[in-house]
Amino acid sequence: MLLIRCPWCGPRDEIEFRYGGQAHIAYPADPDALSDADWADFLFMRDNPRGPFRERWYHVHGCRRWFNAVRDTSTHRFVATYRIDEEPV
Amino acid sequence: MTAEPLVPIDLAQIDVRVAPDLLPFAAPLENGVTGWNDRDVLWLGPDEWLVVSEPQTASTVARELHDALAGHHHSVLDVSANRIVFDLIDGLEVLSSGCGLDLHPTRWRPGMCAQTLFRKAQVILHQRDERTTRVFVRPSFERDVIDRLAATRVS
Amino acid sequence: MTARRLPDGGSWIDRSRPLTFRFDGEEYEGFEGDTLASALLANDVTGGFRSPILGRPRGIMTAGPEEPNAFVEVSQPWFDPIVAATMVELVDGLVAEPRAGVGRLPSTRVPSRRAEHRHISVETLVVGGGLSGRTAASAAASRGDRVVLVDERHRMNDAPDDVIGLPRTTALGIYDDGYVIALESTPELERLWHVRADHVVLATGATERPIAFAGNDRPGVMLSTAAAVYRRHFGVKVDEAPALITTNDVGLVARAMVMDGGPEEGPVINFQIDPISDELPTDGSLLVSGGFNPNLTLWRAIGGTVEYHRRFACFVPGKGPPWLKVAGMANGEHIPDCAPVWYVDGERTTAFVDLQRDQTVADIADALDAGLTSVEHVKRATYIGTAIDQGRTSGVLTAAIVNQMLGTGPDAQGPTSARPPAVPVPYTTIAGPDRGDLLDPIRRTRIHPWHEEHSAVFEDVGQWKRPRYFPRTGEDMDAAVARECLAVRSAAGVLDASTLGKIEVIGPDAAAFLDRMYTNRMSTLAVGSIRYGFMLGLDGMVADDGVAMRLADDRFFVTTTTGNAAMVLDRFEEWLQTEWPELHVYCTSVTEQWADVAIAGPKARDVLGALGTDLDLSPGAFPFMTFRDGAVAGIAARVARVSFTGELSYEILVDGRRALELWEALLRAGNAIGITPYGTEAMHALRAEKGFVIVGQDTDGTVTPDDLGMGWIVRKDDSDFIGRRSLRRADTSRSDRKQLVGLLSDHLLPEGAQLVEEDTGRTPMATIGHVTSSYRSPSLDRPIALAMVARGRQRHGQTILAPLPGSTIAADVVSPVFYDPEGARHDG
Repeated sequence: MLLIRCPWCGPRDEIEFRYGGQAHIAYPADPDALSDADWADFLFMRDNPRGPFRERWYHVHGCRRWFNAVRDTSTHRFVATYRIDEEPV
Repeated sequence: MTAEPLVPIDLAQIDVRVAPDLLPFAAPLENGVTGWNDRDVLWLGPDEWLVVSEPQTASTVARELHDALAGHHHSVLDVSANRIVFDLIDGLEVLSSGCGLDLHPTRWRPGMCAQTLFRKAQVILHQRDERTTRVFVRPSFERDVIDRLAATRVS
Repeated sequence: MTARRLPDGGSWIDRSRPLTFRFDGEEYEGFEGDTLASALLANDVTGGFRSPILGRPRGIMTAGPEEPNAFVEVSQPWFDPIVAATMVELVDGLVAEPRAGVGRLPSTRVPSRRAEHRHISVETLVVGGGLSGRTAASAAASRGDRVVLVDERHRMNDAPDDVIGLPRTTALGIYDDGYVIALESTPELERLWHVRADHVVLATGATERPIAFAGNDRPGVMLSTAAAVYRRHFGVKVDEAPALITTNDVGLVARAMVMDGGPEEGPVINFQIDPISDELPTDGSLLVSGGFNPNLTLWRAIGGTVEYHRRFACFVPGKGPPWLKVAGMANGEHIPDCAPVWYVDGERTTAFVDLQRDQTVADIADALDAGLTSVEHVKRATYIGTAIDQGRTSGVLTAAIVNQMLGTGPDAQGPTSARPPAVPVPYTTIAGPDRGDLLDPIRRTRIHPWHEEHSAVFEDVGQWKRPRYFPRTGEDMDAAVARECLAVRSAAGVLDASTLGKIEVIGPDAAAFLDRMYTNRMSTLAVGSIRYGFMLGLDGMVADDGVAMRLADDRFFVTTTTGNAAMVLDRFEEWLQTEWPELHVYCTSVTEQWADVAIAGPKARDVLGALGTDLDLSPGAFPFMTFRDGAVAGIAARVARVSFTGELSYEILVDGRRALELWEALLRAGNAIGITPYGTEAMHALRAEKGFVIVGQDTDGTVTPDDLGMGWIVRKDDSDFIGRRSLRRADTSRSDRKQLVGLLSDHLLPEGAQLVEEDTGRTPMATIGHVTSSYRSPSLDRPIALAMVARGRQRHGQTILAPLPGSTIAADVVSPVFYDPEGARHDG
């Protein structure tokens, strides 16, 4: 079980968290301006790299804060976690 | 853990959400508890606290907070029925049967609080002194949590 | 082979404490500190086991968890379906019998040990209590770490100062970030440790491996160090003058220890000197030492690599996670030089590699002859390494034999890796105390004790237990549900609706925020009013429904379905925190702060009046889809005029602590008009009569509001809400989508039944939809159903078919609103 460092509560067991998918994908400012293909791309398509990956986590059973993380998908190791209002490391 | 049956304690609980610099009391650190007069203030999140005080004081505390925060974006809610509360005496070992938090006395000290899981039930733990752990749990989970604690205690 | 207990010696046994035990029906004596295996050898029981597949006679071959032969079922004083005799600590009254291959589930209740779980956080966990493990533990403790030291054996040297030593504790698995599950198994209890450690040291030692030669599985063949362990720790001598076949010096030392330095007798084959031998003894005691394998099961399971070491003829650790270290023999230290001899060619069909799977050198050769070249494939063709000893003695041997037969060199392929758990673990141990009612949390409302006292039949709704119906004496479910429904239609019923999710949404931007979350506009809602709303996923599909009450300009009280309460709050937080931090809104769950009791039926107003309230209940003062704060039965309440039944209905929200008081007061006040508690089954039937959908029953994540005939709930202006853009996607605006319809049939349709236009009598048939809800409608006194049917709204008046095994039910497509289509009843 992963040990995840919540930027607020510190390290906690993975079961306290919910995974939130790829990070830094903003909701389009004007969805109406997007073609069906571009909207589908926003809706369904996500990166799936081997190596460092920016993703969102939610401390659902703790402080209920969403935060971002960089996790190496090949080792499961967290490189960093950072608050939602912090610049990506 | 001592063997007295766990009896829920009636307490007033007020959930406060506001920017921390506006609080009418010193904000506790993350996962910490401070006092506000004779009340406990538990850190629940960077903009959320739980004020715990004597029974029947919910409306007084809520009014004080509303008055202090008037004019600012805030939320003050009486959540006294939203969780039941009981005190475990010498209960850290039995809690560790279902809680992954580091509850070693050198790390988990009086004045700390945490929102975490006891097995599958979300709980708030507040270490009041060396021996007393206050447990807050949703009423619907009350029997599950108490039965699970008892199952570990008798076994 | 004969074995016996010597008159003295044995560092692990206490000769002042004799114990009696039974094995295979015979009574024997041993000492405290014995294992079952050592006590059997002390009683000259050197065989007594059978191989699982071929039924060949077998004896105790090892002194540890690598044992491939001597498996037993323990039936007293606890039950274990199958366990190695070398790992059973002897206790007085132990009863065991040989068990080959697989354990048996007992047909009756069996004695079990206490089972519990324990979490512990430490800076350092050391696995293995030998010299290097204790050294590592001591070093960690002296730098101030909290240290746990586990050892699978029942006797362990005292742990160093400030180290928590846990003998009889096996690390079962090692997971990310230093999370280790370990099983402490004593005669009294089984405790599953969940250890979180910053650093883990594997000091798991090395296991001697056998050599494959003809007849190497017969009783009397024993690993050389096992014989030494029995001599040293248990005072048991396995033979006066055992023969030896060895590839290394440790075998020689072990044999000398067994012989107590007595005269050198019996044949010794030393492959370090003699590369080939054809004089293997075929009876009597034979000690074997094929070399030493560092124990790297845990290391490899978390992704650690291994490298072949030529001098030691074994695999040693390569790279692994930064928090994990290997020490001592497990790390390739103190391993003797070893001649790389894996099998002695001769009669291959009795040269066993995996004794528990009865697989031989011949079987490996067959697999290679069939064209396999990978050790992984050989494992799957032969099942080598897949028995419950997990191939501890066969893994490296198999890889080496494959390498040798293929001529690829000893480092070409390593052994396959084993998955956790490292030793067999009963499911009851994994469950611990979490069984029966504690298996998964059961959530109960504040009114639950009343439901229990009144013989409610409960239904699981997520983790909640909700009353499904309240049968009276002699009633079955249909009769009870019909009575409850008719009571609501003719008088009044009460429902415990406390499980509904409730969220306070507060802040100057609360209305703007809810406009973005719901398809309809919440910002135009007047204070004191209620609006029913849909929440969509980004994909445009219905995700949840509920009502919003506007408490103030900047304050809403939102309800969700029972099952989605957490999901909706999480979604609110997600959008507020990650997308719209500029919005000033706080959301707080108050699901359990408020209990919710619904009273529904034409007499609901009368009951509420009789109960006593300061609210003006007249329809003009308190119209449909509004709420009022006041007192009901002397309890501060928020009363909402919403209806999930079509009848005049009030939902009364009170402080959870007063829920039971309100419930009982309602029943007393309604007694005269026959007020009736009803459960979820009647609630479902009543709402289906009205064509009200249940999100999650009539919808399945592929349904849009328009599919439900509820396009009116989607606002048509230019303002955005979650899911709006997706409603313009080609797929969501297709004209042949499934649409909600009602079905009338003579027979009850099963929920989930597929619907067709034409019954060809042969499957497959082209389906046009499926039944989502189906009830025997008490109000209409006939079966009704809701269904999702392609172009359903154009089919009103058509007859479609539900082909079922043995019969086909015809159904008329109608509007989904079966009862009171004018909506005349909600004012009473």
